[in-house]
Amino acid sequence: MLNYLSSELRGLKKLKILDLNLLNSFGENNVFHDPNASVLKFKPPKFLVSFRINFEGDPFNEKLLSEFTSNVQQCHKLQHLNLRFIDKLDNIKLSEALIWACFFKNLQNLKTLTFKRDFFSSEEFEGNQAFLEGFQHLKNLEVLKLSLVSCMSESPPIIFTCLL
Amino acid sequence: MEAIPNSSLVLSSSQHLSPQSHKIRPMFQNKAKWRCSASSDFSYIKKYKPKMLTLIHFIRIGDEQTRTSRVRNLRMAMMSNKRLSCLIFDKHATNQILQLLSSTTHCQKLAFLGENGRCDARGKEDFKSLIRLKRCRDLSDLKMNFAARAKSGKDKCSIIYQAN
Repeated sequence: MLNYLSSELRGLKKLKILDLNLLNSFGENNVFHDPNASVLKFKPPKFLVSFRINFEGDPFNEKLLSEFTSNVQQCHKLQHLNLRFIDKLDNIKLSEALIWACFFKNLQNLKTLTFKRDFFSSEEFEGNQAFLEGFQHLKNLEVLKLSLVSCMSESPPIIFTCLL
Repeated sequence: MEAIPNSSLVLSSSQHLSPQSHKIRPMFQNKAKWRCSASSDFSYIKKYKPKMLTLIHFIRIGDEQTRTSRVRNLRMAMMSNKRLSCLIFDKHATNQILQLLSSTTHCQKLAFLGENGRCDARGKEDFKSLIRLKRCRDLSDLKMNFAARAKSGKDKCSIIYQAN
């Protein structure tokens, strides 16, 4: 179903703004239900200027993330990006941080970035730090809204929310 | 009364407000004096030619025959309104809603705010139809909600008015 959606939307040549709410979209009561699928396989139309997508709880690994970022960075005119990853994520590993850094390097037209990712704590500091350093690649960024929340009970929550 | 630029019309069932009533309540936003009585032929759409149309709890009110008739009449009214560029639906998009889309190929903005992620057989058929948007060649702004999570009526109204 997700491939079908990607394919149909790519047929809309004038589409510039896309806002997809896929929250809990792979649950058993949802049309996308597929244990092997992930929203990260969604391929946005290439002419987007603004892209917002949120999803929750579906498979998340570095291979899928790499595929997703590769697809999004093909939107060469992208100026506004809003990504919300919610639930069931671990701290950022160094290998994941490198994927994000590479992604940001390829988003040189980006002016606004909103990024929400849960389970971000002081543990695995190396990856978290590398992830934060990746934002320096966004040379034309004017607005950054960053929300990184630790939900781990054994450590105090660290919330980064900054508006530059 | 002549058409006014950027006018917005909301068609809502009053079921929202009063469980006893299933009447359709049309209301022009920002133009309180434009409130009209419900009309089965939607003549006020032909007359005032709103640029934006929002349907709240609109399609499913009444029996099958009533709904079919209502959609057919609304579709005819919409076809006569070439100014219509924005269409917003709050409910799971049924085939009846999709019939409306076929009369709005010139729409630039579409928003499906209801939970369109239902996975029963009917939901899947509706979904397949819903994403056949290629006929909307002028579409530049698309908001789709495939979440399965229910929201209260109050929340939905809030979302709809934010979208407007």
